[in-house]
Amino acid sequence: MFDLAAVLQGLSIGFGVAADPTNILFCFLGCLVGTLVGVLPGLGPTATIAILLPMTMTLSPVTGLITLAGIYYGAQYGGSTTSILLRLPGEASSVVTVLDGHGMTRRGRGGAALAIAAWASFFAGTVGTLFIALFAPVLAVVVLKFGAAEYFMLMVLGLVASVVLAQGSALRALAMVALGLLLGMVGTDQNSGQYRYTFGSLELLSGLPFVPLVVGLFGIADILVALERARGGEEPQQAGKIGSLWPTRAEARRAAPAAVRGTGIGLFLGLLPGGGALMSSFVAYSLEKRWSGKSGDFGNGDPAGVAAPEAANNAGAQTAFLPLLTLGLPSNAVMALMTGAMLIHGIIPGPRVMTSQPQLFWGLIVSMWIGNLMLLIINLPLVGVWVQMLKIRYRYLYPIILLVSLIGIYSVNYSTFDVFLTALFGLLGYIMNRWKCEAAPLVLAFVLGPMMEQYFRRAMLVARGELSIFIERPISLGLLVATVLLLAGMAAPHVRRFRKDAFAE
Amino acid sequence: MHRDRTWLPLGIGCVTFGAAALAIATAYPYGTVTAMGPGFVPTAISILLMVFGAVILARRGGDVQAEAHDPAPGAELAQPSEGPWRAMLAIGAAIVIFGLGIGRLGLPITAFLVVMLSGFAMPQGRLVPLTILAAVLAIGASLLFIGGLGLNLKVWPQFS
Repeated sequence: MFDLAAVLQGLSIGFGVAADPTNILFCFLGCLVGTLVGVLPGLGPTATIAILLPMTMTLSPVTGLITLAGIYYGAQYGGSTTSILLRLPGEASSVVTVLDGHGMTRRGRGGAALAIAAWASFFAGTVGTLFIALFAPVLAVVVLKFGAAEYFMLMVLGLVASVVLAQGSALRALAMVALGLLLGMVGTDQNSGQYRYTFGSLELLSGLPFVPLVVGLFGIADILVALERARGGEEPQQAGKIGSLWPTRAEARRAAPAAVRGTGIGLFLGLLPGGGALMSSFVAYSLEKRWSGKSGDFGNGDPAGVAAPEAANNAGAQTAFLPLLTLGLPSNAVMALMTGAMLIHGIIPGPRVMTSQPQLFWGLIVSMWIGNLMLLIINLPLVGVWVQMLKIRYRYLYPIILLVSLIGIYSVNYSTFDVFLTALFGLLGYIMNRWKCEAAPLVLAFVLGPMMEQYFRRAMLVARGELSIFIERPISLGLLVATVLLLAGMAAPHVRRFRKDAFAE
Repeated sequence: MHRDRTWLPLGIGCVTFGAAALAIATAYPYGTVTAMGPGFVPTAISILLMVFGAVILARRGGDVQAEAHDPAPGAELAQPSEGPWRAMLAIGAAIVIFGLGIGRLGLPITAFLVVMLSGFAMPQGRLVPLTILAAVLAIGASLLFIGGLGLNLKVWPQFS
């Protein structure tokens, strides 16, 4: 099943690319910025990647993607630091780490909790990278047999799954998917050359630009929402004592198996659309709690309660790349941004990336592992520096974020149209937040929409207008059945309860 | 716990937006199912959006859990707050100033104005630290983006 020789050869290509000094430097910068952002309150990984996306445009595709990936998992690490020391989850995916991580800090074992989180994440990252390296070639071969009908159904399944598995109202997420698809229609139709929804604007002929859309929806909207919550006069938080960075033998013995279990959970949940790091950490924590029974001391600083979710969110963050790199299917908002970044560089994500761009593919995979190694080195010794960062007040932070976002957007095309468009999407993002709609499904649909239309039209052309093509081809049928099951399951009571439970803690 | 009240504007918004998109899409050639024209898919998606909007209206907010931090009816009166307008106006103005200024005033002056304007988004700000921040950022951003990263941005104002 596995072509080990090819994997080894691929990894050696990857090491060659990732060990390039420029790539090492940008991987390091990405991890550094990611950690910083993860630590700083009120700025999530999605917003950061959106804001810094334009800055990576001038880099080569490989270096750009390596940088973005570094920001992504750097933010995962950074988020856990604030969870543990301050009871302030920097990211949604480290919310559960607060429970036991801060519990350990209260007992004066904050340093040990940080070390456990870092080592568990590193272990999970390593396993996750190997997992991708092993499975990506296998999956890519399967996917090469896909025709237009299969691709279309795959994307429908991806969108539906991301809606069902995401937080909040699935109905509203579906509406956002439709809105995203519609926004994706703007521009010139590829088949006929017809201008659609351009309102006579020259700038829109090549479609709504991606960067203003995502910076508006994630970056500007985030600022507006945070400003509304802040209401001035906020005081910087006091960090708990860090103490020794070395876990005791008992702590290590408790954490190690939990990290392994967490990794396993994260590997598989990360693959699911809409899953990724967030759901992995929640599920890993609740399973670990159940697994331990009465022997655990969850909520009061059980090392297993730190190791399991941290390992899971990092493993999930890694394997979320697998559907993107092999199927061209972004499974969450961050992966949608990566898709956008690849498309801007002229790379169409999918099974052909591995054969046509082995440098990019394997370079990215290996750099993930190098990034994880760097994070271990950046994080533990520098934890004091990161804690100092928390003293920056949001009052002085958001003007910086705003300015950097605006310069970034403008620098893509030197177009003021893009700047004004960003304001518009910022407003849309803010309204969506108020109306309890998530931006992620919209962006996923926006990215996938044009591709889906092409595949759908091609499938209909091949089948001479018979919709039955989606049922007659076995793979397509399987994907269709999975989609229907997911939609039906959403209405079923126990799935609803699971969704509620998983996001309740 | 308070019931969700956002379903009404959201549902109406989806239906209206879908209807508008549908109206525009009728101008595009529809084609046949075998050889679809550019109007086929937009029409389908517009209808889909309207359907979801209608379902949101029909559920009357039953699809989301009531949240504790939803403002209670009348809470706005009890606790006078400036609402989102201050932030929206300040941030919006900052973005517009950036768009208008970057091509004419150059980066340093534009950056200074953007930071000053955005600073008013938060109440109880003090002018002196904000001005210092704006000046530092104006110089820092110019050094980093024009000097360091080599972006093709103006440094000094030019009116042509």
